[in-house]
Amino acid sequence: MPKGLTGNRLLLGVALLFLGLGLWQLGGAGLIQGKAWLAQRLLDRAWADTLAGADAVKPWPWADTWPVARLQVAALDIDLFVLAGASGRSLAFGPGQVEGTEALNHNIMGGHRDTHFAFLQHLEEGHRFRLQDRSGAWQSYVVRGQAILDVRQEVIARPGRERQLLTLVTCYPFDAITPGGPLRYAVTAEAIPGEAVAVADEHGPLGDEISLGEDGGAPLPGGTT
Amino acid sequence: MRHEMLPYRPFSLIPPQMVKACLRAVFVIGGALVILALVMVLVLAAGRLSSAYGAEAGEEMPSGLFFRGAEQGTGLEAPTLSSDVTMAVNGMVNRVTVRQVFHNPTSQWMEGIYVFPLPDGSAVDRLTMTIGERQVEGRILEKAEAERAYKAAAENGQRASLVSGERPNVFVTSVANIGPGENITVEIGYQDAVAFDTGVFSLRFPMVVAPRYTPAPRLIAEEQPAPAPLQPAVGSEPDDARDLFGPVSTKKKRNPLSLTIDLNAGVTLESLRSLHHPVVIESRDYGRQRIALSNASVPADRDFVLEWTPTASAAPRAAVFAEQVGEDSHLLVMMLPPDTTAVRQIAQEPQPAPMPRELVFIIDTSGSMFGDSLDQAKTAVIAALKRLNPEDRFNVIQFNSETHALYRRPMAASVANVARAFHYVSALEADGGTEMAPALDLALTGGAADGKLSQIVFLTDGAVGNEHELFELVADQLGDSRLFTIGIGSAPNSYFMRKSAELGRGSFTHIGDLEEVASRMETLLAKLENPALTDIRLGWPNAAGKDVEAYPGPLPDLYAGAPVTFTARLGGVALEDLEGQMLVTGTGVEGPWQQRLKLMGLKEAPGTASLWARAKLEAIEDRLYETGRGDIDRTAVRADALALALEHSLVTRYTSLVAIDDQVARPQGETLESQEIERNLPDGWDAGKVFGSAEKVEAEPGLLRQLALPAPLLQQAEVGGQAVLLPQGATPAERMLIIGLAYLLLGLALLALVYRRSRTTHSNQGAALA
Repeated sequence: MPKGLTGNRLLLGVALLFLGLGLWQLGGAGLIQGKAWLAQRLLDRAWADTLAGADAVKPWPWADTWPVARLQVAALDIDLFVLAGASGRSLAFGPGQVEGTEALNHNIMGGHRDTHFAFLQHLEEGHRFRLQDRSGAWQSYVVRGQAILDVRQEVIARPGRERQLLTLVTCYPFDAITPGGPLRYAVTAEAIPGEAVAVADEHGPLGDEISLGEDGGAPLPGGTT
Repeated sequence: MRHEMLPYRPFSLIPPQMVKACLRAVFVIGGALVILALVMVLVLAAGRLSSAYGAEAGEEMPSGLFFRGAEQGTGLEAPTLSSDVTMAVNGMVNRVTVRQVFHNPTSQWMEGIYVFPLPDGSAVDRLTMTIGERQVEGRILEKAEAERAYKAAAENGQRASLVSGERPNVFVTSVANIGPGENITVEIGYQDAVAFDTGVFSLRFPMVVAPRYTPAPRLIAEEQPAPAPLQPAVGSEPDDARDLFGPVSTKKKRNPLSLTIDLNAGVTLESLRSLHHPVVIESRDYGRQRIALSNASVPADRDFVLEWTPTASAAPRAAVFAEQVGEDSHLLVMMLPPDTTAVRQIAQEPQPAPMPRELVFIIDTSGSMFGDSLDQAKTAVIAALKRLNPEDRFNVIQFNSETHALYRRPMAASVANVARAFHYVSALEADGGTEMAPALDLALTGGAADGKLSQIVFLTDGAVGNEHELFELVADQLGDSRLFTIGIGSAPNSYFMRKSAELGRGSFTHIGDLEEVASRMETLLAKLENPALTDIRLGWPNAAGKDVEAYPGPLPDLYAGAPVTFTARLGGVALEDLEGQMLVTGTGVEGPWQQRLKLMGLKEAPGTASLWARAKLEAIEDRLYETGRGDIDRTAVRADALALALEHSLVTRYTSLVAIDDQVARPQGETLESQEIERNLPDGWDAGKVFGSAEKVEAEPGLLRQLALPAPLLQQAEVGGQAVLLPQGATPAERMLIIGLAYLLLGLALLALVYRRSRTTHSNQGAALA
């Protein structure tokens, strides 16, 4: 047999193995991004049903979460459905609402820094965005500041006094490669009073007066498990 | 078939070619794996790095979410510090003793370092260290020498303390070898002059050094004023600029301070008040007053200001204080020109139509101005805008990291323009760094061309570390303009503002409170509208001798209500030999003005000599900023300043006071831990606005202030909150992407190799066949 051929075959095998591994990893990355994108599309219908009065509408039959709010940042062209619960499983599909802070009048939502909440790095003090709750009422918020927190220490949520607070949380730094670092980037926004205006939504059962009467936007109901 | 015709066969089972090929393949695969491993290691290291980077960020960063205040303190406990200040005011001379008690609560031997401010004109001339019953007197040494002596003693285990000047108004005490549980008291004595303006005496005691913004790139250049080769006799050490950003306590107020003042005003008083601290005033014999803080101690976080007003009839027209040291007499002279404008000013009678002016307001909108400070500045500017006349021109410039002006050049103060300025000023917000130079530059270069009086009103907290660079700018570009500085906030850098006003031939006003804004601005604006008394000169009698040195020289312009103040040394003249009158002349609104002053039966005031030395020192250092200078002889400036400082045992940037105990206290085996004592953030300052997040503060304070947080959220910090678990917000997608790409690249490279090798094998075979 010609010399080197055996070696070549071995090399070829290894090359194909590497190519396979590479494609597998890339596919995995693509899947994460794809899931994140697709889920939001599927959530659209579930949210419409929610606004129509249904409770805890699962976007797909095997889902273990459901949309609780809709977040829009006009300046950054962001339109997201927020899911109940901020477990890793639900965060893959959309930003999730951390449960148990209703009493504080301070909502906390988590999201992935490389998918849904990548825009947080561009969200600056004074920026406005709005949040639609399950009643269909929109509440405008204005960003009051951001902070970097280390979760190895206990993190305390400040109660929203006269005004509802909303904090969006994601991992930090934004350009880190490996997930799982201890830092979080938190953007805190304050509800703008008097801007709780119900947008005439075809699914919104509630009229103007009622949603205005809710004063500063009703706290979003956390997931009812 | 003949064996010879057959291809060569080896003896072993495996042909050598195959062994070679296998070896090569192993080599290639091994190499590839090594590369892969390297890539993985790098990726992981990057991840590790980013989490290590995160670990430093574990400081408190207030926001909607924050950390529980308790037990997150890291590292070593530092020594604690309490200060006790006693002042003895005698007329216009104020002798102050600051007792700093360093307590070491730990079980280790400690070195404590504390950065603290003193009034800008203060002459620090005494240091006493007390350990238990024993007292050790400090001596003045050239700075580097003092530091060496201190370090040697510290290493040797002797208790030692060092007081050195970082800036003319910022000092540092270092105390070495404080034993476990021990107290060491450091007593610092300084001389200060009481200020007098528009009928009011005032003294200021700053309590905290605000963290200062130093534009990064130029720091080294301007903080080393003597980089040129130095005479060895003087020493070769350039001043190390201490980072005044320093450790600052953002959590709770510390460093308690108590303060008592023995006031011998020498005149009957109409009013006496402390501006920012509640005090208890106790009247004593002979019109003396004793003033103490109502709270036994306060956190050292804002300036203490005491003001007293003499009754109208007792208001002094002139005062001379004297001290004889050796053969020389030293005088401190304060004299109020009995100017008609001044009288009108105090009586608040209508003014004659003032000269048309060009007023440029510069407002500092950096992060340190956030909150009350900016509100004060806004109120002040709006008050000033209201007083403009239609003939005046004006402009408003704001600066933080960037400079922005309302108009490109000063505009007529028409109703519409002023209204626009109101809106502009009201909408200002504080954030970002403190880049003063471009704003000053802009204001100074726009000087009035048509002979209008050009006045620049500069409102800032002066939280900058690059004072010298800015002084040079002012001195260089001033032209015919006048620079008036207004210090804003609870702890402004008044040295910077007073000095720039001096170089800018204007004046410095301090506003510490929103309530003060109206009255202070009123005073300042009246000053601005009143023509100055210029070209002030001194004439001395023969009895004063030939060797008279008076500072500041030349005397600055005067505005209504301000007195002529100067110090003088009469070389070789004893106090009792002094007689006759001195003459002060100047040019006022209504022509030449002059006043005589008796030089007999003068009040003795110890400390006058120190004040004179301090004024002279400043004059020597001013040579560094002289305009039209080709090359400044920095060596000579330094040598002159050093000689003077050593003679009067003054702490300057060339000299330090050091006290060393003879006894060796620290046992051989024990190590010495060094800790800088955390300072308070000045009252009203917002930690979030100043630091943003702690991690990058050192790297780039200005930039990082973007990560700051507004006060409305901060102020809720004390109320309860709820602990939350923050979700993890990242996917492995990016890592997978990178690893995937690395694999793909490797695979492709190997494919290419296989392709090349198969081609060469084929051509080899072809050649062999041919």
